[in-house]
Amino acid sequence: MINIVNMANIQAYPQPGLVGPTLGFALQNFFQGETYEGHRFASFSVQGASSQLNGENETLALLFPFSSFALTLVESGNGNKLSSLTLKTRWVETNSTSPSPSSADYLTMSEYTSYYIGVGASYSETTIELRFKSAMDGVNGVFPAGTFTRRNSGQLPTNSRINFK
Amino acid sequence: MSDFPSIAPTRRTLRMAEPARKEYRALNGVVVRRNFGNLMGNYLLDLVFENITETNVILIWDHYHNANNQQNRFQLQFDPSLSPLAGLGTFAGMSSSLSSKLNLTYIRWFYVEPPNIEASERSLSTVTVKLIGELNYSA
Repeated sequence: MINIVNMANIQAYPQPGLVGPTLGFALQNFFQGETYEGHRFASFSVQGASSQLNGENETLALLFPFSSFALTLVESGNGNKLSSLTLKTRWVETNSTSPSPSSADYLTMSEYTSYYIGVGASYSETTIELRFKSAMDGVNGVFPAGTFTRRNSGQLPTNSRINFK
Repeated sequence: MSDFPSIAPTRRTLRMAEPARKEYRALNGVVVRRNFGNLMGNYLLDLVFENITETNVILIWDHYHNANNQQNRFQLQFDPSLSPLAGLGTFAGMSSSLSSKLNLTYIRWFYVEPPNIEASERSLSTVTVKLIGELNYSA
């Protein structure tokens, strides 16, 4: 049996030019109703790729149920375009005989951490999908695998041309 | 949110909770299971109330049509004084040591499907109710 806890730290930055706080959300999806190491319980799942050999940005999606909380999460990050995500994937084990074990009954076996930036969100009748791409630590020979946002490039005309050197 | 009416059912079927789990089955038969949570949920409770009076039918009718119950789900009554001596309550006839195992604060109940009301005799009806006990989550 494998028990995996996803722990997501989402920072939602205000739109440039607007005064507003940077909101932080620390969430986990395993321990029902508990706050686990500072992470509140939220019902979400993680789907997608985490990395690729050439360092290209891969899309990772966090799926939330369509709730007021998830809407706040999207809107406070300007449609999840101005968000960053630190995703910790933790493998935990328990020997508890309790019918309702708590997080204190689980031991951490191993974990790894990945970093992503928000690239948008989409809605359906029942879910809200927050899309992220891997952060700019994936670099191959000549091209930084970054994603342009207004935050790092400023306003661009629609027919602009950019040369990298 | 109001508790489910305290009427003793004629028949009661309870399916225990299931874990939040998915499994990968390899071609050679090896199975790897992944758990997605620390608690189990999705109890299924089928209740049949045979030949109950209109007063009791109205209790179930009102409970089902209560918008608050539909929105926020509800709890069952586990008051030991209601069962088994009084012969009342959803778990009438069940000892309190057993029924208390179902008195879980993290479980909320919901209608799986609309209840059925079958007229059996003049002013008496047989009502079938199917409930599901889900993990409590509101956000």
